[in-house]
Amino acid sequence: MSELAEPFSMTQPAVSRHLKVLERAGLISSGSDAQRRPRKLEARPLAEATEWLQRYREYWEASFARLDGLLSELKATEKKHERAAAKKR
Amino acid sequence: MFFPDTFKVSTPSDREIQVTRDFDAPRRLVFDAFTKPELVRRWLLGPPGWTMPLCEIDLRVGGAYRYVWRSEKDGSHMAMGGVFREVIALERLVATEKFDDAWYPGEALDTTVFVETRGITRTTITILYESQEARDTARRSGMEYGMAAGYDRLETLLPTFIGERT
Repeated sequence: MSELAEPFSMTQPAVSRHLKVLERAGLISSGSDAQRRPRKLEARPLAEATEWLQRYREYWEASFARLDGLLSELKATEKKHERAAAKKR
Repeated sequence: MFFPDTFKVSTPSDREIQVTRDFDAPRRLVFDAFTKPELVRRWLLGPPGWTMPLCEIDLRVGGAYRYVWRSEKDGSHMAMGGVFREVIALERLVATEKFDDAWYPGEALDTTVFVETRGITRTTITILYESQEARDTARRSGMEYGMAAGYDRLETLLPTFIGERT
């Protein structure tokens, strides 16, 4: 724990709380030997969460790309109508 | 081509998912694209290979909307709908959302906010679920969409998805 806390300007109890949250979320696990409790990063659930986010982003990005196309079409149509109206005047 | 400098997916709280995106168009056009059925049907098509055969929107407080999507591959349907709670033209929409085959408990509440700055419209969609469990179940469905679209490899990830641990 003191090793993990070293790079941060945080008290040890604060670091301990962060570690507990990470462990509950399944993102780290802790081992134990006589003197220390080494923590291990559980990369798999993190990778899965990122994977989900990536899919979700792709889904929205595909929809929004279609929306970009639609919006530029609407803008062009509006301009055409404005020009036609200006001609009439 | 327009390259938006924002496109963000985040989880502002345990019960929410938020999507933010800039569009290169004035707010009235973006608002139309989100609220006129003939326009919504052209972009909100669901996963690849799906179409939107039905889109009904009664844009007023207490008015209902209903969306139906269809897979062109196997003909299966997916439908959702809800009721508008707030309608502030050009600015803000709040509506309930519930899928017909709801795989998450309860209704969700969708808030969509449109803010225009110098011709660019920032759109923020926030989906508030009834519980963290509901949100995480809905999140998992994102992976199921992925699978439906042919990402079969995701199947191996589902049983250990992080949402199940909480």
